[in-house]
Amino acid sequence: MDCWVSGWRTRFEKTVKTRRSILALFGLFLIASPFLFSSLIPNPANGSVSLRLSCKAATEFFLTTGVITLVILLLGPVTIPPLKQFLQKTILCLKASLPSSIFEKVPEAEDWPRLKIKYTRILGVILILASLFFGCNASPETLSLVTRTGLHMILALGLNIAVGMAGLLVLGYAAFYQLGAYVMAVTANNYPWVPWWLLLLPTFVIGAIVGTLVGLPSLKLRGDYLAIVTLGFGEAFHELSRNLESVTHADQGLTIPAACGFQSISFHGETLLTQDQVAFFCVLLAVVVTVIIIQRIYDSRIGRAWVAVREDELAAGAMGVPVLKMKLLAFAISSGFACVAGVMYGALIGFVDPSLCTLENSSLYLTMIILGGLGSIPGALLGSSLLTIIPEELRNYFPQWGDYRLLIVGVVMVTMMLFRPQGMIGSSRIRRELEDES
Amino acid sequence: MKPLLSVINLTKTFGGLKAFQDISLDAYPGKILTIIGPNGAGKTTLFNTLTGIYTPDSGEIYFEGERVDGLPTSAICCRGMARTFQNIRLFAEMTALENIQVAEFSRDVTGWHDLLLRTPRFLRSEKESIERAFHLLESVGIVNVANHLARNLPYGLQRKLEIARALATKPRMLLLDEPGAGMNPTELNDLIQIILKLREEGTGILLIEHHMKVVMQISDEVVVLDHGEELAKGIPSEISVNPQVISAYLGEALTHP
Repeated sequence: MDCWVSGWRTRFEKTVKTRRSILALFGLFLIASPFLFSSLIPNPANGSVSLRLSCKAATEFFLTTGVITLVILLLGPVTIPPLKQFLQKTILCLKASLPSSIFEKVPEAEDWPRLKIKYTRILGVILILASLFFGCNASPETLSLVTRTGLHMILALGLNIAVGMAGLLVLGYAAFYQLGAYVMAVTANNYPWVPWWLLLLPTFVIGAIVGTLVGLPSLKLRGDYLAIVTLGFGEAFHELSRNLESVTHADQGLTIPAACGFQSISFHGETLLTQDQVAFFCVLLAVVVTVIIIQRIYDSRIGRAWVAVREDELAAGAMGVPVLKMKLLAFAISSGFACVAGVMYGALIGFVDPSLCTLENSSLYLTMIILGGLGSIPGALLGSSLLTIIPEELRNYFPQWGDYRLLIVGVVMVTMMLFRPQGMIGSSRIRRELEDES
Repeated sequence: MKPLLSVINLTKTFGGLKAFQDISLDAYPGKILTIIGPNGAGKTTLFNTLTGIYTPDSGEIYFEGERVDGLPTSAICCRGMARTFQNIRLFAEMTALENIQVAEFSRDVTGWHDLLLRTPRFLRSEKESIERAFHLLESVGIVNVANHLARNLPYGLQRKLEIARALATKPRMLLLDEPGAGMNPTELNDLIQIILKLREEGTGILLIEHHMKVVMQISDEVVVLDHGEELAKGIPSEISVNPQVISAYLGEALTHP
């Protein structure tokens, strides 16, 4: 037992204290800073949006949550003895309650991944608390940007299942996003009494079924055929939504009645949560639930089978993994999450038109997970936030830069491929491997 | 004794190229049946056909009395026939432990609600799976690298890991495709011990091997393939003096006038 703890400590001190925490803090700061220090001021006179730097919100944020995060990350577990003991005790208790008696068998056992999960959880809780605080205080404009970031997070997480975990290159992912949005819009127009959240599960199922139908003919083939089929599906769906006037109203798009979207919550005539805040919290909840579901699937035999199929299809089959079924499952779940994000998009924006499903969007989602790290859940979150917030902020600071958005995305992709192919936060497997080598 | 695996007149061609023709063999539980032959004799193709990677052109394959040709690879594996590969095919980005856990896929009975809600059943099943995997790694002597990535393991250990992974599917019939290739004498010795132990436990073993010493030492029966046809069949001592086999391997002896 002692051996285990000291082994953990040396490892911990070596790797995390010095490098990880700084990196983590830097990353947190990077994600948080653009929308903490700035607030957007719309100008109704000419319809433009100006940006004002305000340190008030940022100071508040860092004073309350940031400092705690900083202390725990930098100093907490290692240098403050009581806290260290407390953490060790917690870990030992957790260890006793978890399926981990095998740790004793191999003292060095690198139960590190499991410990890291604990730390990720602590960090996750801190981030969620920070987001709650943020949701109650941020300006509506910032809130709406972050809510859209949340939708992109769900998309990136979903796409990550197919591309990162199961190794299926999907190029028409935006089609499923749009499908979800149209399901929401059509339902809202025909049956306005159906609340949006009631649509989440059925839409997930619809997305999964459509995904299965698209995947079935192509998944039997190897390699890049799926990429081409999904690319074609994306374009076909785009054209379909532009031409199927009776259902989608073509390029005019569908307007969703405001009563079907997010509603502000009031109590005795006093507004408790504005509409933006409700949207933010709903999306936040959806992101958290998505992360938990995907993490749990990934940690089970299904997740292992996905990675095995990605690594070597033939060998996976020879070891009893039903390859086709696993690929279809990955593709179906991936499509399902996109549709869920689509429903929330409909409820948030209140308007759906065919411009959602373009190759540009599909490749943007792909860039998010490549930037963050294929196969990594934190990577998908980080990649989607960076690629949603940074272009938006750039557009605010330098309006003419908006035209170069795609150029920036391209530069990011090439740079990542050249210098850090595993992404900013590579999947734990790949990261461990790099540590072994260093 | 009833044969575990019986192959009747199996033929496989690729276009005009004949991989093997009219192969018949019976493998019994607790026996080692070795297939030898020069390169290109069709040994590995035969393995691929037996495990469902290729479908045979004609002939029948029976496993435990049931016909298995035409079934998908994973289904054949689930029936109890596992294999290793000539060119190692581990899941490179997974640890040794995870490699073994993958092979337990079909025997895991946890459902969706188990894994989404992390029920006690799920945790128990994961724990048992890890314990079984450690046990297997121990039995082939590589437990100390359990958490290393498969791609970082030295060659000999990768071979052993592949055997352990095949064993994780709980096979009654194990197909080993050149397990000793590239091994040094010590590793080869370990390998022989592992195979003999499996035989004692009653697993049927079908072996492709080029190390003649190993073949002669442990085989119960040897089948010689040449150009896709069965050249000879018999116990090792017979095969080693069979003139046809010697000529297939070494060429015709020069006849002096």
